[in-house]
Amino acid sequence: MSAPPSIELRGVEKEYRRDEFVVPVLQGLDLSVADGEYLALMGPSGSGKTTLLNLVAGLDVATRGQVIVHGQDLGRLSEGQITRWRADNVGFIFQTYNLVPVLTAAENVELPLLLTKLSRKRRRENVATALRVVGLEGRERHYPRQLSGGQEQRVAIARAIATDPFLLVADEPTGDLDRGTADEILELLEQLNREFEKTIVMVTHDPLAARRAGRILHLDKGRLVDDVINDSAAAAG
Amino acid sequence: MKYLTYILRNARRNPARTGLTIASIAISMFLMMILTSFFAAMQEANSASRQYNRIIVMNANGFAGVVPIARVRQIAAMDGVVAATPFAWYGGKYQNQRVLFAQFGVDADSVFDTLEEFHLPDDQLAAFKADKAGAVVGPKLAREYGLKIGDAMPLQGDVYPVDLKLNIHGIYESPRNSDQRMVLFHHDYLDDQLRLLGPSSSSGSSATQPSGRAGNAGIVFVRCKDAAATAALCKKVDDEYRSTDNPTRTQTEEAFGQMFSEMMGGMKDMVFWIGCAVVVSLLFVAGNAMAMAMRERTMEIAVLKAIGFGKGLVLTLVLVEAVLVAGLGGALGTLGSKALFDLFDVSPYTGGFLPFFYVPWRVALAGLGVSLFVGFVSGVVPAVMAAGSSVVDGLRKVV
Repeated sequence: MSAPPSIELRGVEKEYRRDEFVVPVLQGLDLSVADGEYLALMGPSGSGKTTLLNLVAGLDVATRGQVIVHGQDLGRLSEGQITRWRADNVGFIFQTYNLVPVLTAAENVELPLLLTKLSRKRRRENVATALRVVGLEGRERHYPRQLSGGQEQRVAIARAIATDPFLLVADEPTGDLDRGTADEILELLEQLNREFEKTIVMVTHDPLAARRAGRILHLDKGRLVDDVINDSAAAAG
Repeated sequence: MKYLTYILRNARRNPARTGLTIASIAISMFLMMILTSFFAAMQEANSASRQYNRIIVMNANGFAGVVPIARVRQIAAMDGVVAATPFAWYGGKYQNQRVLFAQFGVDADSVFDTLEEFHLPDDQLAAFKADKAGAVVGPKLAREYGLKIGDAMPLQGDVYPVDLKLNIHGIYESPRNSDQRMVLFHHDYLDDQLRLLGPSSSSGSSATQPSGRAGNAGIVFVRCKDAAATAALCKKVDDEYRSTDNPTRTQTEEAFGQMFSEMMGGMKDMVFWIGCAVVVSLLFVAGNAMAMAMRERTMEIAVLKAIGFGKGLVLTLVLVEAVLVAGLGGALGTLGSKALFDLFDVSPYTGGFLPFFYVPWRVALAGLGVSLFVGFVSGVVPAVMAAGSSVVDGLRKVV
């Protein structure tokens, strides 16, 4: 018998209300993602990629249907419970890095660890480990403004993995980077997926970025129109 | 504590805005301290006077009337009285200056027994008693004018048409919340000078004319044996003189001080309303600064909430930051004013209006409390908005 899926969406629909208008964003979406899978979400603007990402990450709730992650129906959790669940299970990587500008790289990475019961010493050890994984040893005391875009994104990735979540959600993680730097970041994400077995769900417009993922989903008008296993990435892995 | 770094860095994120907010609160609280301390210090001094068990006898018609000097002896002889001394306001000029300090004619033999918190070394007291033109001065006044024992101190009559040529024989010591800028001289000396004017210089009502002032005091300070005796003595003195030309009004020293405060009743109300206006305006200043700070951090707060910062934690972080900024401004204004007026004596610059001025601890701490309250209230709305903001909406620009 095969292992239960890491992420499962059953008949998920999502609507937004804009004044008197109801705008359907996702319609009848069913999806299963296995543990350790690297998923790329593609599609035109307004297709529902980010909404899907938000649902999987517990940032938003489905209007209808179920989003089950690691056996937990996210729709049944209270706001406080889902906040705690995100802290324990999800790491976030944003297009514009979204580091706190007044904190150093190490302090930014430490932010999610402040929510744990770890001692200060242990937090610092975890921060050092995370920064080492993303190749930023020696940059602990640098502020975001003292780092390049690629380095900022590495700090953001270190922040995302600091609490060792099983799921990383990345929204256009290379959208603000040049090709060379983008490749380095994508390489890092692949490494996190391959060596640390992180489940990654990445939204991207970039086909080259999507090719790094083991599975590519195409959305259009809120519906899943294509679901492709990327053999080349699997082979590379 | 582990969030303190984040809070402190955020507070310093926009140094100009934070600095201006702190400065506006500090300056407002500084001014508030000056206004409220004036009344509070006066009240504190009044309350402190309670321990000395003193009563003050004045004419029932107020300061326009007089208390015949003979009554000092009569009152001093009453049961329950330890000592009594007249206090006659002279109001002269020194070195052609307007009245910048109080000058009183007193009974040299009893004044330091009556004002027990005022101290004068024995040799200085003896010299003061021995010289009818002798005087003792307060330490602040001595410092201010460079007066020394042995110096002459000529006073030019302003209220009275007589000049006094005083000789300084002592410099008294007294508590901080007492007048340390007084000149005390023999009442007899002033009386002699007034009598020398003769009846020809006076006309009309004797009590309001210079020579008619002879033989009278403005008020009489009476020290009682204990607190229990004060009320009975007040009544006894007033009963004694009720049917005379100069009936008296006798009250405790504390009540006497409160009478002055009550004269400024309207001022007190005005200070209260000014204080309320200051607090409200500070709420707007601090609230606006926090609201601007939170607007700038919409995305950042969304990220914090995304990575697991709960509503309560976000609310607390924002509130603590607001309280910290307002508290810092308040501390600068309140504790700064306390330190400044403790170190720097402003009484010489008040034209004799304030014999002493300081910011009492209770006023400074109350001011600090008000600042923290302002910080808390001004932070509530931005904090609630930040805590209640939607993560998805906050991230919309980036996700």
